[in-house]
Amino acid sequence: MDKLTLTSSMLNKPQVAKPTSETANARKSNDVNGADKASQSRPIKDEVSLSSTNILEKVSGIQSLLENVENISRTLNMSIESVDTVLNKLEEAGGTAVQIKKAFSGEVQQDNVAALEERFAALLNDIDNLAQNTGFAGENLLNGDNLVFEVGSGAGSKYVVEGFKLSSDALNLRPEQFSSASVADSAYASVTQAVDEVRVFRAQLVGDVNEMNTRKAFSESTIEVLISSIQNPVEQESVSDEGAALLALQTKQMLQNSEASLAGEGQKSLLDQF
Amino acid sequence: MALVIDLKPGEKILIGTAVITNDKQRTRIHIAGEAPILREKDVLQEEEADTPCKKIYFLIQCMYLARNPREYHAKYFAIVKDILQAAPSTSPIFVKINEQIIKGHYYKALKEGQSLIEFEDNLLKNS
Repeated sequence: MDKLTLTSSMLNKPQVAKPTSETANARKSNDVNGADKASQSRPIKDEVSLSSTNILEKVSGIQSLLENVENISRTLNMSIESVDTVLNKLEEAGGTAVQIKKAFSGEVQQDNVAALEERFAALLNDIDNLAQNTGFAGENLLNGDNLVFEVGSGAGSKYVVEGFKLSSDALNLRPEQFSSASVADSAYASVTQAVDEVRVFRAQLVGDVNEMNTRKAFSESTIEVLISSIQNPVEQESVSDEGAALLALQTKQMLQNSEASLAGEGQKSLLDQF
Repeated sequence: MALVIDLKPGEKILIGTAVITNDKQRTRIHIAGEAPILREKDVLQEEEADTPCKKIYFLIQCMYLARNPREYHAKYFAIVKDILQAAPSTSPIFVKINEQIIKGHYYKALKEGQSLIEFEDNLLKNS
């Protein structure tokens, strides 16, 4: 979503009452009942309604939450790109170890072993460089540092992304003197294990990105709804008007009630256990 | 810091994707981690969600329990729009609820949802 620019023009819309058809129907219903509602016709201003200015302030607050969420998402996506590069390097290192094993078993020329050994060491060196140099704000997620983001103010408003050490040493990989097929075999096994561990870390980062994307989408919809409530203002005149409109909405929902459940299957089956 | 919950005899509690039923004695449990936690007293069943704001509470509850809460966003915001149209004075509570959801604090959002239901109850009584 494009960023919304909050302008004073949003506040200049005439604050005209635009009763919904439900409200009108509900009012009609009250008239039919002939009940004395005078005591319930307190001005709505006495309640806790938010003015347009206050809503814009709230929107501004949610926009800064959205910006924080977007920053986290960007950082995580950059980390995932680096992790993908590490995974490619590891897969190439695994392939190199297999080539070395084949050289010892005579499937390929043995003079290639030295070059392959050099390639294996270079790949581990590349991994170390990536692990050491993918820092964000002084913290390096790929070197085991946790990244702590502020998602808002107040207690419990931090989002922690757990780091993982991606250096060759931490992954139990080291440049080998490939003296035999069994050494190559063992190097291949170590690389395979490292690939599995890095993939688990990648899945964790993808989970964090999904979480941020969910929050981003929710923030954007919240802003849209709040802005819409300013641009298309409905001012009920009294508490009883709001109550009547809510009652009308409740009736409308009951009439619309279809077989379709609000809950998805997973949540429905969990709630059924209570 | 672990969350400490005292369970009454026979009380149920949802932790993550499991519903645990306490036996006949009182029990104190310590829970660490990020799994959704929902006590029996806070659970609202769909058939009980018979007002607009109770439907909102129910949907927050579903988002809390869902692996992918986004599947509920469209339903949630459609009802929020209808409620704001009918009762604009609910907007401060929605702002609080949505701020908690954006921060990932669904449990706190549910607590705000309870305030929303009480507020709605007052409005409906005045209709």
